Amino acid sequence: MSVTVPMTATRSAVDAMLQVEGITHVYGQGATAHRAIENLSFTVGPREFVSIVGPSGAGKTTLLRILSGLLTPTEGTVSLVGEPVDGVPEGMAMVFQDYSRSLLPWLSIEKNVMFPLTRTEAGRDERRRIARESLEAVGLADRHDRYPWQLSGGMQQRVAIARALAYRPRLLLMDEPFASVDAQTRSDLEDLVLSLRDRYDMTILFVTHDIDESVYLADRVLVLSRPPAHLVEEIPVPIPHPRDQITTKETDEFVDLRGRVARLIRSGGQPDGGGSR
Amino acid sequence: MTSDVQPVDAQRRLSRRPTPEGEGRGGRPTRTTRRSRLWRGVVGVLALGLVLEFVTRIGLVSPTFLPPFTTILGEAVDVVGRQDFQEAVLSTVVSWGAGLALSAAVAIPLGVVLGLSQVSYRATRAVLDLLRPIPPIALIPLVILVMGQGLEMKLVLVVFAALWPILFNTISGVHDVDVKAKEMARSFGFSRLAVIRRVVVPSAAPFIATGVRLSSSIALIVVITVELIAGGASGMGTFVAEARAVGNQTEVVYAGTLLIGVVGLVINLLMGAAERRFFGWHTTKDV
Amino acid sequence: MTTTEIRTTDAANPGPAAPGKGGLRGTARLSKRLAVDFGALVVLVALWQLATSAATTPFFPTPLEIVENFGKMFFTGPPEHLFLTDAATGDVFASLWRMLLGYAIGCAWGIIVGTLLGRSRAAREYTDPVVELLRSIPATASLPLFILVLGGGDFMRVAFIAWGVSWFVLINTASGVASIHATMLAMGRAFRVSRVRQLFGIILPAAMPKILAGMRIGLTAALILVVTSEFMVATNGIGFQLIQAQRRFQVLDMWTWMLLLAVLGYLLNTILEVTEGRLLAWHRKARD
Repeated sequence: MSVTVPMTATRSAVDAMLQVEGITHVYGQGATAHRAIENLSFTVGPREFVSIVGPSGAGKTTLLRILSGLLTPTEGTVSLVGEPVDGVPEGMAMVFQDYSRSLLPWLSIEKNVMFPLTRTEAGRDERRRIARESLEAVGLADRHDRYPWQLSGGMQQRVAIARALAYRPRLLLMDEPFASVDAQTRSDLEDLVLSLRDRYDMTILFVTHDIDESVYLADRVLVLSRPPAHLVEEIPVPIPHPRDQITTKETDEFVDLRGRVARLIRSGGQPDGGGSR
Repeated sequence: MTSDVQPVDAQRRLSRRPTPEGEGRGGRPTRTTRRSRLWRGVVGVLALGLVLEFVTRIGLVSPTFLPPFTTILGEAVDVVGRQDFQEAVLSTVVSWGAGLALSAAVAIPLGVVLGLSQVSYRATRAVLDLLRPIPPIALIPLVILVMGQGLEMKLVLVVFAALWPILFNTISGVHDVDVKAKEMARSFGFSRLAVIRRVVVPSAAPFIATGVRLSSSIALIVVITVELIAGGASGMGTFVAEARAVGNQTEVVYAGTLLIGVVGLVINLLMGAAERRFFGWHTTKDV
Repeated sequence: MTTTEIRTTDAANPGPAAPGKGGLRGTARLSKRLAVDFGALVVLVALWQLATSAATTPFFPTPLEIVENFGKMFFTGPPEHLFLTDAATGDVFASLWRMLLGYAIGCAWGIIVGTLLGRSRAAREYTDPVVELLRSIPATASLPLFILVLGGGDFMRVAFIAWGVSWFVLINTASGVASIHATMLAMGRAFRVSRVRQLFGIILPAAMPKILAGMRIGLTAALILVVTSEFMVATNGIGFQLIQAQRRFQVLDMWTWMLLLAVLGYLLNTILEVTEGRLLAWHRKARD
């Protein structure tokens, strides 16, 4: 199954996979209204790995829901490969934080991975082959007949990643995917995602509240402010690949970058950004 | 083999559940949403009333089948004022209350014993498993034959039907009591009986309360059913059955059925409110 | 307005321990266990037999007489009818047919409307008072109204059963559908799963534990409703025969019909528990 992303767009098709322009989102009305996002704009290039960090409650999840077409913003537009997003676009997959809710407990993990593949585009055998291959890519090929609740949290999240891979997305959105797994598993999954990005030629937008993670994974980190969330700063991460959980994190460059991100977050998006006081 | 744990249900109101739309900041039950819920409920009732009124007024449905909504409401007001109806309500409610109280008086001590003693539970389980699925209405003709048509007859039938939820909820509530709490009480030198009274029963109380609430609906069903069938009994069921049998008084049957619903609703509300009031601290495990 | 939503019974409680490892000690342990598990039942039935054969009251035949009459009444028919008597094929099948048809319609209606209500918060809020009032009418209480409007035929009985059953299923379906976690629904939409597959692949399976719990209570109710409906203005059926036997003081026959109802109640309950256990194995295990 190959997902065709419309390439008819002209202007920004080449230089932007995802383009976000002037997004504002307000929940509710009147006195109880809550401004979650305020005039947010950024772009993500093809094959780029972008992390989004911000203080908790900064509207990161709201932003992802908007990007994925699940939520229509109050103002602003989102374009995927130049096409305005109106509803859930093709060629985009999502990995949710809450793996225990995003996997269907009544299906085996192979069936879970096959679930989003449409019946019209691929026969049953073909869908199964794709599912097996994706499970193999996340190291779970031998457990294809297990059920999600028989696996550990980390393995369940691997299944969710395999499901996204099987969907062959151009853009992969990840919503704090490793927030509820233990530290060791988390490192393993981070490296898995980096290797899969190369292997599957994907653009990844990764939302997290973990500063180390955001720097370690990304080519570029977007720091959001406290709500109403706006873009505080874009920080490029010029650390070369392949990266290593121990040596990369020891480099001055890494330490410096994570310090910058941390200060920006602590100041909550105040322009001075320093932690001097 | 079969299930021991009887429904211990989560006490929630339908529209107050967490909903997909209510996710995030938009979903907090603010004063506005509470008012809009009330408002929508009123709109819903009025809309249904209007539709019912309309289809009868334009002759879409014959009034012998469905009288206009306003006619039914007017009739309901009349019926509420009638002395024979008031006596019927009293009779039904007394049978319900006494039956429920008796059921609790039998089921709670029995449940505590069966919940504490594994042997007694196993010994009686086969009997209970055979008795429980018997439809209580199967007993109505026998009990009427043996006991006549008075209050005792209703009570026996209500107890047989309403016993089960209280019994099984008490058993599972007692099973659920923290072993540590029991041991601690023992270590303070409480006697076995004192442990039951001070630790076991209070901890099982929320389960028991849920059982009582479930039994309350069952008790009402049984009372009304008996009244429908036993011609000599008195109560709201009898009232409606007679209105139908004697001259097909359509409006009265509609009004009576609606009023039975109102009594049922009031009973449900009171039982639910009492449970929340006394056991609001207890968070029933949800599925 | 409290919703009495019925939770899934969980069979998590451990059954009797696995049989001993054979040998004499095993046998002794097994017989002891059987004595504990079924002793009380045997003693009770024996006492019933003794008491009723000693007593002179006409209302209480002995259990042996009842069982004997049960066999005679239902299983002494011609071989070409599989030894079923006219009572069995006529009255019992008539009741079962009404019950199952009404049950099926009630379940279908309850699941459809319950799903619609569960999906839309607004729909729930608009219908809440009406639903709460209608479902507070004890199921059997609307029988006179049904007879009045629909007459005394099978159509009325089936509609009456369907109406009564539908509320249990409707309330549970609505609550099951409404409490599906938002992430699960978002997953379906994020992967552009078609609406039909979202319904049959996500929403209904996720709500299935609660739907089945409602259907289990509904089946118990259906048996009660069919018998009640046959107590009034009927010409055949289990309820009709039961009340006829009582009116004619045919006490033994009355007890026999009661026994039949007890057996039916037990069978239905067992069938449903087994079905539910099969269908929801994932649910039970996933919770542990």
